[in-house]
Amino acid sequence: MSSIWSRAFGRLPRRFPQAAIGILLIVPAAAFLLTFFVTPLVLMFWMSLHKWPLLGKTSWIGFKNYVMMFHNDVFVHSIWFTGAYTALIVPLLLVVGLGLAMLVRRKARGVGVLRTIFFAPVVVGLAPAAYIWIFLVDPRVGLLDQVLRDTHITSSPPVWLADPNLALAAAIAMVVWKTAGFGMLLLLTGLLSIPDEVTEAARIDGASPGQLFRMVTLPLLRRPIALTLTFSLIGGALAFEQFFLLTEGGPNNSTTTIVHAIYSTSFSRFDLGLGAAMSIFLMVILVLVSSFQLYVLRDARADA
Amino acid sequence: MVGAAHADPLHISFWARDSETAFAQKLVDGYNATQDKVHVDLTIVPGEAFPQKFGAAAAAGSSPDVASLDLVSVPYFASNNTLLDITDRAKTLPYLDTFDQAHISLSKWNDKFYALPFSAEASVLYYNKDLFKAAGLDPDKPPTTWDEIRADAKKITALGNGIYGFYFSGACAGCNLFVVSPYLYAAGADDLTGGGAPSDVDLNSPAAVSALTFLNSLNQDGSIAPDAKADNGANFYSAFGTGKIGMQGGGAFGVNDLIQNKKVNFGTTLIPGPTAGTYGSFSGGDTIVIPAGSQHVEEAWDFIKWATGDDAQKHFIADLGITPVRTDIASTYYAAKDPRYKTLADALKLGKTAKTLYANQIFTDTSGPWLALLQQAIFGNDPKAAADAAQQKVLDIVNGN
Repeated sequence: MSSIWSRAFGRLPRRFPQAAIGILLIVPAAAFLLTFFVTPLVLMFWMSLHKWPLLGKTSWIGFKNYVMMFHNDVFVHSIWFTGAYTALIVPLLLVVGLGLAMLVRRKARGVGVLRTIFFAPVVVGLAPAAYIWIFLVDPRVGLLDQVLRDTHITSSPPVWLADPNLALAAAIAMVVWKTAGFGMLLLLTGLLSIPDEVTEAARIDGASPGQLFRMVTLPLLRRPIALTLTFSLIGGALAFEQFFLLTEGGPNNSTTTIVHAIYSTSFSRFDLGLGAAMSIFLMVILVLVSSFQLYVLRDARADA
Repeated sequence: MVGAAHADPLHISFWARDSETAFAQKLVDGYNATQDKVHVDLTIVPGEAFPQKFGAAAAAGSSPDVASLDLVSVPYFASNNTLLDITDRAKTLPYLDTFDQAHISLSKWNDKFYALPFSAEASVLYYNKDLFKAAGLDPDKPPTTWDEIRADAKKITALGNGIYGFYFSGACAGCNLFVVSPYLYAAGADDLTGGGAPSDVDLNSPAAVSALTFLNSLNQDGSIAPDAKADNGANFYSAFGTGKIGMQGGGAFGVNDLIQNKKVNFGTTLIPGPTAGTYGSFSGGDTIVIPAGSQHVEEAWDFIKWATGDDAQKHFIADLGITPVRTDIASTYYAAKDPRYKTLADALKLGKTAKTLYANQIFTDTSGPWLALLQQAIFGNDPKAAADAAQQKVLDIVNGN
């Protein structure tokens, strides 16, 4: 090693080229990030300080957009709705994902097929999945209502997408169906990386399955759980397609999410300044909540 | 031996809404066949996304050369210099005053022409003749007043078996500007049309509230099919086509579809008002415009001239069942084809429309006040309160909040 080094770099101190190589390797990624994330972000913040219609002249209004957006009752309701949706979907995805992961971690025959089946919906796009669900719950041609009628659970099933709570339930069902497989994958890798010696040692010490799960498995799964929760949280906060397609934000804007409100403001009302302010607001909230979540789930060395 | 060099035709881009799919390609092909210097390339854009896409393209400098714009969007785009002023060119057309007046009114802004009428869609009431007969009603006597609609709808709903007297796509904003606003117009709510002044959009006038109360009564009677509330427009025409709906509003597009599919024995009549002799219709459809960023203005104008001329309006619009914007052609050539087309031509003549800068934000936005008004006033319990709330939102939009 040292001979290659001295042939390549001669008398340069070892630390300097290593740092240079490190920086060179990072430069492409940093350039990408700067061009496609940081610059648009700064531009968007700049836009949010103006009255900026899609077509026409722009004018400086300082932080007025940030005040105005809280007078927009569609936006305010969307904050509450998105929060409620996220609060419901995050734990659900974790529980279902973990359940599926524990189901498929043993090396039984056919478990690979099961893993594929559980993961398959993840690769269906969110938009096609929404369309599948629209027809599934359709009162005239849908399978769900047909089953409810045939099994005599009810003879006049509700029009799912016409009621805010039922529509929310339908959207949650669809997203769990579609996304749980991803959580399953993350948590499965976590489960498989728990060394057998640890679980065996715990069993030898007389741990029951419940104690094993709570005191050995879960703590060792801290990081995959944190990752799953972060993905679900971001997905929940940024939810758009499912409601846009299933209910178009209705009935009466009751299922409009924050991103949908941003979309309507920016591209139906052509008010880009206000849309930009709403986006910045969403981003700040998301950063705060994610940071809090990661802090709570950090590797606390205090646990044994 | 080399043949005479044939110059490649110049390609110009033309955007049309998906609601014009039935005739747009044939029209474009017809034009391309009349000469070989210019070739029009058609792009169909989904209707709900059209204002966004058109606006975004204009902002980015990539407008098409010629476009077909929903007539209610014209005031907004004309007012912010997105469209070319074609007044001088328009005045050279010999048939300028045969165009339907509602379309002309929306094609002008500040007395200048920024668009020309292109295709018309006037709303009428479809009614299922077989269901009328089955309910003991005369299939040749469609309702002429609101009370008659209500009574007929009740009788038809009483047939049971999934049959309902009335239908409309309750979650679709634009569809209902087309089929619900006529009731407001028939009651005398002229304020809905305005003259372009923003304060003229008036959703809680007594006439408007009376129309909403009438529709609310249909819901209270149970005459409206239950899936109407959630339909975002996907079933706008197919619901009536199932043969289980007694009456619903619609336009030429649906008429053609139903005639071709032959499944439903139906008639059309003007949308009635509160008393006999009052009618309403929404004069919708598309205009044709040259965006300010068009790269080929002369060629675009040549296409527009052809598309609004006798040949195109007769053979590529009327023959395909679409209502021509040329009233001279609509009330003669077109009306003669079928009595249902005659109703459409009559509706076009009395049709009103909504001229406002905020058409998109108020009437076509799914989060806007119009759709919220319909959902609350028709499916709720207090039409007046819903109308007042909606009007407040309209004022907020108009005052820039």
